[in-house]
Amino acid sequence: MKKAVAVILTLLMVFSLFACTQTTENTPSGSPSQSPTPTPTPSASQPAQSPAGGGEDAETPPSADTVTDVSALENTIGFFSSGVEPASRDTYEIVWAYMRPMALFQNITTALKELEPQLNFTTTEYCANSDIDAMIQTIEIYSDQGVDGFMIVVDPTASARIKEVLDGTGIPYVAMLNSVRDETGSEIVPCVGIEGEIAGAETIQWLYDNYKTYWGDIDESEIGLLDFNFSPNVDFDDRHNGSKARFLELLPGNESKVFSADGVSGALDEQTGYDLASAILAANPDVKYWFVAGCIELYSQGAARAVETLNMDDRVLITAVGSDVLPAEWDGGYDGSWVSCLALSNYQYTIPGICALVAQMDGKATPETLWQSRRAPGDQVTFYNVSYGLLTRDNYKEFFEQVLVDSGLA
Amino acid sequence: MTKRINKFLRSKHFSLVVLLVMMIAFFWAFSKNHSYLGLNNIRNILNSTVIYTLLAVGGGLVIIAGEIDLSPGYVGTAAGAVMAALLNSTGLPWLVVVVMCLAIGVVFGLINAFLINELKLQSFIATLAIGSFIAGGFAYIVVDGKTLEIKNDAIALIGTGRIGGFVPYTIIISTAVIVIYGVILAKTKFGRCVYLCGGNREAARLTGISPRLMSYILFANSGMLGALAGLLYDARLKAGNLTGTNHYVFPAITAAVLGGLSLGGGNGDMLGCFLGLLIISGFNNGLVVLGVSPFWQNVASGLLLLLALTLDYLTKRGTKGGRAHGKAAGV
Repeated sequence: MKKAVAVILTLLMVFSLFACTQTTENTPSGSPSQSPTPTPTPSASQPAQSPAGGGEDAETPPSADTVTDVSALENTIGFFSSGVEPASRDTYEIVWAYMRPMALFQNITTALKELEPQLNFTTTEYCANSDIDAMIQTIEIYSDQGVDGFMIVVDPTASARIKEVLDGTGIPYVAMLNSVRDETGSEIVPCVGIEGEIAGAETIQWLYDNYKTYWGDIDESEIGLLDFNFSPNVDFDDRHNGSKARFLELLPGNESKVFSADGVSGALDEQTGYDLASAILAANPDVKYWFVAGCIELYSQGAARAVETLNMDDRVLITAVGSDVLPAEWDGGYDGSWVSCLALSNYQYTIPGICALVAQMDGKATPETLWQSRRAPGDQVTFYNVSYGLLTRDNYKEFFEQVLVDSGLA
Repeated sequence: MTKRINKFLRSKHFSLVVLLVMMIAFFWAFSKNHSYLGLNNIRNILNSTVIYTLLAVGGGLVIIAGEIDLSPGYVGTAAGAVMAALLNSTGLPWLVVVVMCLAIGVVFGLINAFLINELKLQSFIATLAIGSFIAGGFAYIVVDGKTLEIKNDAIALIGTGRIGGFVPYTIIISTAVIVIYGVILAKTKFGRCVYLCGGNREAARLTGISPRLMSYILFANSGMLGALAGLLYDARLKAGNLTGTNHYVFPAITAAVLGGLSLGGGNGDMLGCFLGLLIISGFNNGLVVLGVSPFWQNVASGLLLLLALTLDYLTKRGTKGGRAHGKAAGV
């Protein structure tokens, strides 16, 4: 036992000495000389973008009244410059935090890593594994570690508290995907996402406009709707409501054939989508044709598997909001009833978000000054509504290639 | 004195302390500006143990008594949801609401004990069913699938307030709980009865102890502490959350087992439990501080557990402490 303890203590000492040396050598927040040489960004190539001039320091916090909206000069993908030359300052350390593992979040991580050299920042990724308390604790941990900014998916089940903790850190942040609103419905955190009701409506509109391609000239009164929801999430609830409202607008006589499937009793996963879809589709044989709308892709993916199991491929058309899963399936040769998705490239989410965060960290923007021209009436800050397209198997590659070109990463 | 030191060196606690010291030294050395051992981060580590502590104490007592309770996480969620609903929709004083919610935890615990003792269901199955389905479903019904914001100042203060602007009240509460239960377990007749029930139920019965009564008390207690965990969780978030503490129970049990509680019953104590909680929370915190990928964090946590169990096995083998396995500790 004594020998074991002696060995452990020796190892411990060696580790400590080694670690101390490492820490001394690797100075955090790389100096300009350590920063990667930035490549020109699309926005950087645009003239007269900087109200403050490149390389200007970021000591004085701007106010909403006195500072021009630097984000107004964004390009088509949402890229804009704060006016501060990235190479002229230290490397920012940002935390990209989200609640649960999802393909979209992984893809945003990848996009952030690609953008690191251009904007001179490093990304630390954090996944709370659905534990909101852990998310809050971790915000405080990273704050104590001296990070420069947060890009964060604010979980709607505790958005007020998460905002409170973020505000308490005094560190700039930008929300992704989920809007954060006060009691009056006014947006209170700058956020990059999509307007749920419109997105939901668009997916159904596409199915309605194109169903004859798949089913021919059928009797419209035989079409039903399976509309997925995850009611605790306001944005997903909006998508669900948008889909349902547009369906009833297009097919007002089919109200009795509308079925809502709320995943709240399960999880945000494919299995929940499968379970709900298989039960509803099997229990309603009187509905001959189905539109299936997924507020998230995973539910549509589950529905697609359920449709295959039930051999209903020729009677069901599935769509979804989001484009991380279906394009991967198409790449793998999928050609089933999941026929379309509302496309949002990861860069479309990531680029406006990181540019807004960098602008705040540079001291050239505040939550109030960001994206003022895009702000909806009544909102205190802007919910940046990402533009999107509707993808099919025929056009998805072209779409993503164009986004890459627009983002300057092609 | 030498005897006491030798006893400590041969104990489970020693290997846990060695592991803890190694871990702290590692993260201290590698963290930026050695911030791992900064006061703020120590507070962060202790703060992250709060919910686990309450669940591990309640569940740990049940484990020492030879059963297992998988429901307190779900009971906590249900109790928190009820608290949010009552605070929002009634004019009841917050203290009354808290007592009512703790009582709900007790009721769930008593139902568990009833199923186990009267219907002879296995505790694993009974508590899983009561927790994941009944208590979990109850929470959804109470809040109607929505998140309810908690605006009560007293509850918010308990959840987010800090003594001197630094030490959260939640840490004080969880520390008090583990100390009180540690003393009860180690120094009272009741504590010895718990060990005896877990070590040999029949022997306990022959000495005049009622294992059945003990079971009711311990499950009710576990339910109550689960409810308290749920209340603190929601108080910290200032919202009645639908999933709340659902997923906290397995990590809490893992920490308790790491701390020396035997799933066979009759073994372990609250100090070991606390050390286990500290190791797991400190380790998870260290991985975050070092910026380790979140997906590697899970793997690393598993490796830590394996390392701890291996260390424990080697210690036991080295000191022939394994012979004492199953013997009632502290009796």
